[in-house]
Amino acid sequence: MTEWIAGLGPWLIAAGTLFFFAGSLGLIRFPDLYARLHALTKVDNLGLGLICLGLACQASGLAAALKYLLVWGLVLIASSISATLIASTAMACGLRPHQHRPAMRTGTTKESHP
Amino acid sequence: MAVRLVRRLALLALIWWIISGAATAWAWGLPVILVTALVIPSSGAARIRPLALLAFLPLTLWLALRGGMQVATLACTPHLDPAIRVIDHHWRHLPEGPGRLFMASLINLLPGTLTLRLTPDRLTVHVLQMDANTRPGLDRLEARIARLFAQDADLEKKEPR
Repeated sequence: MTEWIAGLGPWLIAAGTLFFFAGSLGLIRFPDLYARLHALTKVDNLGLGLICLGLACQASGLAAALKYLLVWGLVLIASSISATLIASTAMACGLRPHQHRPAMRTGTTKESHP
Repeated sequence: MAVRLVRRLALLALIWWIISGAATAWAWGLPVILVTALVIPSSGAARIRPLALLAFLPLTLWLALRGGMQVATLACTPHLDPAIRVIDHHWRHLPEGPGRLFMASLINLLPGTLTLRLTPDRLTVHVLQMDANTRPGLDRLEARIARLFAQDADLEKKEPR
């Protein structure tokens, strides 16, 4: 059982690295600050989660494994709060989000233009 | 109050055990845990029901996984044209307080949503890939968080029955 879990570790870490790669790609390719924050808060957190989980699988004991997960939890809280702080500050500074042109898509819902 | 203190002590002891990683550090740990438990101010998190949180965690992890996959797929799409929208989510279930802050922070981790602004009557949300499920999804999430925090308004509604 323990060997099986330890064998799972490298695969989880590899998957996490792929997510980090996709997140970095999003950071470069997305149109504006707000969309880039999506890449940072979602993809990179998932990548970090998989890497922490992979490291936890290979940890020497339960406390060490939980330490990796604690790192992930703290980063989740910090990144979520800082993403909102960055986004609301950008809004307050008058940076308008790039929005998809409504003419391109039917069935649009009511939207606000800050 | 006593229950809250015991919960806090247990949580701090768990964190200390995780951080120290050994049985030798308790001579330092116990005084630190005791002092911390008595000194830290009570936060909104203390109002979360522990059992509801346990039921809530798998859903959050699943949504976070989906969120990461969705944005990762979008980032790797050759012709990038996301249906970005800014929408207003009007509060329906959650009264003012820690629940709203919790939701504003949580939706940053969920599929395609980012909090732009938190005001007393609404939450301004940046949606990366708008679809028909976005608004109902936000409503469902708000209802779930309201249950998680066991808001007084909900309890009052249930009592007359």
